[in-house]
Amino acid sequence: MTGETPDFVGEHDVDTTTLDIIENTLANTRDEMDRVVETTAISPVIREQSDQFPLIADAKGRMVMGQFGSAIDTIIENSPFDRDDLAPGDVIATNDPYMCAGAVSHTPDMLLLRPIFYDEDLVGFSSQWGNLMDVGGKTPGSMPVQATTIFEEGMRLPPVKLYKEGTFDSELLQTFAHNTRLPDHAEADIKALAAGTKAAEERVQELCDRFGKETYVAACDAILDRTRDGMIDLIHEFVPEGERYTFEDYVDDDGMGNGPIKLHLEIYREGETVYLDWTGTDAQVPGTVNFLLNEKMFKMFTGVFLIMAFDPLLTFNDGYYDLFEVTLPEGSVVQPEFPAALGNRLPMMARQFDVLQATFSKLIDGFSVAGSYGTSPNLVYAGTDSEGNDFQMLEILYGGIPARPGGDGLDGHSWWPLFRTVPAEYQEAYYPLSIDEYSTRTDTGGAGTFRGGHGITKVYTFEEDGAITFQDDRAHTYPWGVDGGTHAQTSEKTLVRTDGTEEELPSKVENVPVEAGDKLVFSTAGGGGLGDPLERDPEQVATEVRRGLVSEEAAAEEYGVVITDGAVDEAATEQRRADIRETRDDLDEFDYGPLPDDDDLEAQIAAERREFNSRGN
Amino acid sequence: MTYNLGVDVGGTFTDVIVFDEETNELTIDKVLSTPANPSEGVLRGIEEATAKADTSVEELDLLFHGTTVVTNMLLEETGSRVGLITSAGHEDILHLARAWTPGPLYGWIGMEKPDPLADLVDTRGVAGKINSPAGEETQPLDEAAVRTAVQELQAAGVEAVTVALLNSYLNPAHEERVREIIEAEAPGLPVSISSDIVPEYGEYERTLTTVINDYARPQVIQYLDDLDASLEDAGSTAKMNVVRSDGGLMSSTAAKRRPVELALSGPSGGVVGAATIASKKGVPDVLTLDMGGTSTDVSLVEDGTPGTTRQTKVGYREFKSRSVDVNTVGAGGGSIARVQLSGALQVGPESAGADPGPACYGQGGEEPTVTDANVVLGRIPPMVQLGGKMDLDHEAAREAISGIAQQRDSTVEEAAQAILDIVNENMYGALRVVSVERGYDPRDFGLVAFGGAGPMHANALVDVMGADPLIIPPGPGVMSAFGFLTSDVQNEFSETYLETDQDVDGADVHAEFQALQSRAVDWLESEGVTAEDHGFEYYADCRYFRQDIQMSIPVDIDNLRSDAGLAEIKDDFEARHDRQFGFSLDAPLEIANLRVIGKGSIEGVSIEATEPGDSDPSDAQVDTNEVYFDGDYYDTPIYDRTELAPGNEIAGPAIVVEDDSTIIVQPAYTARVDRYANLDISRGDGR
Repeated sequence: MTGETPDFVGEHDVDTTTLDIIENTLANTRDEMDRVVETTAISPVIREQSDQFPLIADAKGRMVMGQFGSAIDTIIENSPFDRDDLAPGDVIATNDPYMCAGAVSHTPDMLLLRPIFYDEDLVGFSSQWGNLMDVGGKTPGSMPVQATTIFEEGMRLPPVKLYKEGTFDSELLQTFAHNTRLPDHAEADIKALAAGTKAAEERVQELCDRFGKETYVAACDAILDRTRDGMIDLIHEFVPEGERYTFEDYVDDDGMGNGPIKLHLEIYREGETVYLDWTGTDAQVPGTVNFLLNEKMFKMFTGVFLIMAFDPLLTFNDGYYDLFEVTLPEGSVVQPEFPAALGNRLPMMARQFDVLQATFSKLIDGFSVAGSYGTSPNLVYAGTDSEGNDFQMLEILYGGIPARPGGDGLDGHSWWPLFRTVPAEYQEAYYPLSIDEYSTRTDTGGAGTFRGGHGITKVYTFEEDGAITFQDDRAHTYPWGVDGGTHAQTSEKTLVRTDGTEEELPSKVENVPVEAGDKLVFSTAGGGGLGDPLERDPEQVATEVRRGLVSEEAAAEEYGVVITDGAVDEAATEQRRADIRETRDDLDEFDYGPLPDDDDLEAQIAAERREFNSRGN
Repeated sequence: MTYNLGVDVGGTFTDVIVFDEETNELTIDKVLSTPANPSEGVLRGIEEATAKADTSVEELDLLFHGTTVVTNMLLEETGSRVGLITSAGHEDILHLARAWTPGPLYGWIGMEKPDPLADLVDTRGVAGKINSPAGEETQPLDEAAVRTAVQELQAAGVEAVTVALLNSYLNPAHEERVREIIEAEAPGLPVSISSDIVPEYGEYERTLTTVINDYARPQVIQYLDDLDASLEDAGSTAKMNVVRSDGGLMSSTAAKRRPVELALSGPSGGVVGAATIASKKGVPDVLTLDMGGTSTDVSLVEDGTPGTTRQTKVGYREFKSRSVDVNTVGAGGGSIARVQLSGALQVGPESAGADPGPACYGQGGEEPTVTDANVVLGRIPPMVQLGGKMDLDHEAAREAISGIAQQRDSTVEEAAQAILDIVNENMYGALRVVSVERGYDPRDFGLVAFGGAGPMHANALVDVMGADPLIIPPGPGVMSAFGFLTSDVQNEFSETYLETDQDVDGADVHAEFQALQSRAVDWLESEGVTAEDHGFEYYADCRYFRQDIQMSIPVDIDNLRSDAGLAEIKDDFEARHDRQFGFSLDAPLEIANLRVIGKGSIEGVSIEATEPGDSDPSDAQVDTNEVYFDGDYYDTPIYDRTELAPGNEIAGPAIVVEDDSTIIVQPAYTARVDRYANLDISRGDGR
């Protein structure tokens, strides 16, 4: 173990049934917080895409229930007040990543934090953050591509009290909202987040009413301790001691011609401590893809991965923090220095997950997950319509979920939990565009015994002049396959002008003018495959051919399955598989796809940006 | 002499209840269901129950029929092969399923995603475009492509076809034309169009709901045709009413067109019955608890009216159909208890089911269940035979629970008590969702408990929740069938409106409501309800402009003739929003949908009062048992419910047994038989 044993380890003055009840109630409360925000917020990003993250912490600010870890101590440190200055009815708000150690990692994420009191004693905190539609800055949506400092990414609120002892500071909120392009949305969404934290306050107070304050506090300790015990078991069982495992992968670029950007992770265990070291990761970049990775959040991600893979019933919380030791090199893309721009940190965040799951795939026998579509593609279309009304649409898109142990990846699904596609009928009713196509990209997931999920194609026809901004990744690097599974296909974006000319766009662009009648074809990347494709059940391949999810050509070439009239030709398939086995190279543990070497890729990425800029963008 | 009959077709048992209009007597019967050919079991139940009530099928006047046939078809994926016609470019709509993966982070690693109910192989896209929000045709329908699609689908062997095109909620012209073409090309093939089934925005949910309709339709048509025919053969002239998910009734003909409305037909009956019984005795605000073998359904009844929802969930699939707002949790008598690696005790959602069932059934089950915990603690007296059919194996129950006790280092009694505490907590969580989370305080409500296991657990629940009184109706095991008898003919007519109070006035909204009402009148007439029995309710589903919430606000349409009516709707909405979420906004009111519910009242049953007599229950006491409550064994008297009379009072601890359930009265509680033969249980001496 690294430091001291945490103070919650030991005996707890709460009987096990009461403990189970309190743990259940807190788990339900977390869901309730989400429901409150989803139903009362106005932004489609929050209401349709569940982009908000609740947590309940103990009086020391340790997350007892939630999934992104807690940075409550840092937030209070960076605020003008101390813990003792907190009073019932206070709510703290901040959207400055540098003030909360990256607990929110770009400016559109607004975090609200409510201390919870019982009998005048602090018994915990509830917190929730959500993605606002706009917080000002140089582009609609506040996620510019061409920015080099956070000052270009909108209005930042340091940790300040939005409610003081229950009294709402409307001037503060108006000042903030005034600096955004959609002040009504900002106000409504922030109030919705506050309502979510209030729901948790009420439930925690009810638990104190029911079981007594001391029992509640003891139960929080016990819940942390229980999770810690469970994690110690998981570490002993699944993380081998001694050997060091490393993995490297890339984010394409920073949207300003710099890339590829390397992420390097090393994992090893000594005793009960698991070391996770990002040394070897590239330095921070000028553009907006830097990811201020919160150390505690990364411990949480690591623990959550182990839990979801091996013991999904274990509660996630800050109980296991001392079991992980993380090294984040200062000034790297995962620990950039103020005032680096952070707006488009999602490719880096997603790649960090890819790298984490790849390293675990290496170190855990018999458990592998392939690479994913690897970002959270998002599109903004904004302008002023012919009647003079401003419009601003923001949409998140999805791609191929990687093949998983024991199962195929999912086509066009969300890597991020609980997100949903915005209905085409919503977009067409409220914004000047039509959705001509929303379909699965056949053959874009990696082949394997378990197939990687395919990406999707979405085709928009714009009905008013305006401008589009989007961020995507995996246009130059491939979601890798694992254990003999093959890599997936990359993402692509094409603008089709009214005269039929086609323009390929890089995966990160800002304020590209579009005219009424222009079409955007947005195609996301797939997920990698797992295991030898020649081991896949031919009948399953044939079913997917009939469904249009795999082409006959891919069936023959990738899977060695010969389809005649929609059915498997067994003799031909056997022959074809034998031929492929004879001629192919040994299967690699990872298939990264046909990547050029680093220097060539770097030159390609720079050239692509120069070419795009030369078109006047 | 005339009789009315309610029949509730479950997965295992079919419950029947017969009401004699002359004597007000109720006769209860239970037979085994016949899932392979469901109408067979229904007919057998009807024949057996009428015989038991000394009457015959010929003398039945009204039939009320609820069924889990559709529910089970969805859960077990045993419906028909459905073809799907979508807008070109949107064929993958069900496959992509709005991209949703479960929480938490990495939830996708373990996600199990069932295949769409309409296979991609049987899905065709056709060109043609209705724009939005104008609802105008901007690209004509490709009729040749429709014909080709229909021919291909028919040749492939689909048994029904769904048509679901983009923006059809604004203008159904293309969908209607596709239906015409299908009817011409493939006469007799059932077709549903999405604008008819759910005329509302949201293409995924509308498509899914309509596909579910067609998935169930061929078998429901067969089932209801068979049942109608065999009843006719048996000499019945009774009018058949089918119970919808929202607790209302519709004819067989209507049910065959819209079987998706039957998805929660079964559970709705219990809620409607509980609402009726509670209102009758003057407790119009109640929570309901229907606890069975594998799951528990809870709901909230306000002012005698069950809450309804427009989002119905069966298994993985959540679709748009109006249903009684029941929240289901995997907690039942058969729920299995397990100790997790971390030491946490978990009860359910896994269930021992009916086979092998709990260990105490002696059918080879070894897993410790909730029922076994009740047996260990003496809460199910040895004299009780579950379902009247089997003896309890106390040793096996104790053996099963002792495994849990060893893992938790506790006595067997403590382990059993912990199992009950956890399962009760899970039900309490479900009750909180329908009450506290929606801004209701459970202490302002009574609790009506039924289902085989509900009366055994309900007293412990009211103790935690503070609900009062606890009401155990007569025949708690057949509550759904009873509830059907209390239902009215009912259907909902809705449309997406999406207008704000800045863009329309009261007269506009009034005109829309009248148009919906005239559709409701047509339907009621087609269901054979005469004009004097028609009733209407009007609702506006409101939110702040662009919110996702839809709060259903009851509307007095006469007031809409002036603009005060619109302001009244906004005031009501803001008050509810503030109560539930603690804030209001300075934003326009958006009316997302308008809905008219057309009702025709039917008298299926009447509940008569008996004057209460003596409070002494001692004549009904049949035995005494040692029962464990909160750490101690108590000498607990056992009463036979059939021997209890209105006015009798029982001090807890006590157990009241009857044919289909066991009622627990905890220490410090008193039970009293009311004028309608309900057992009311309250804290203290009950006065």
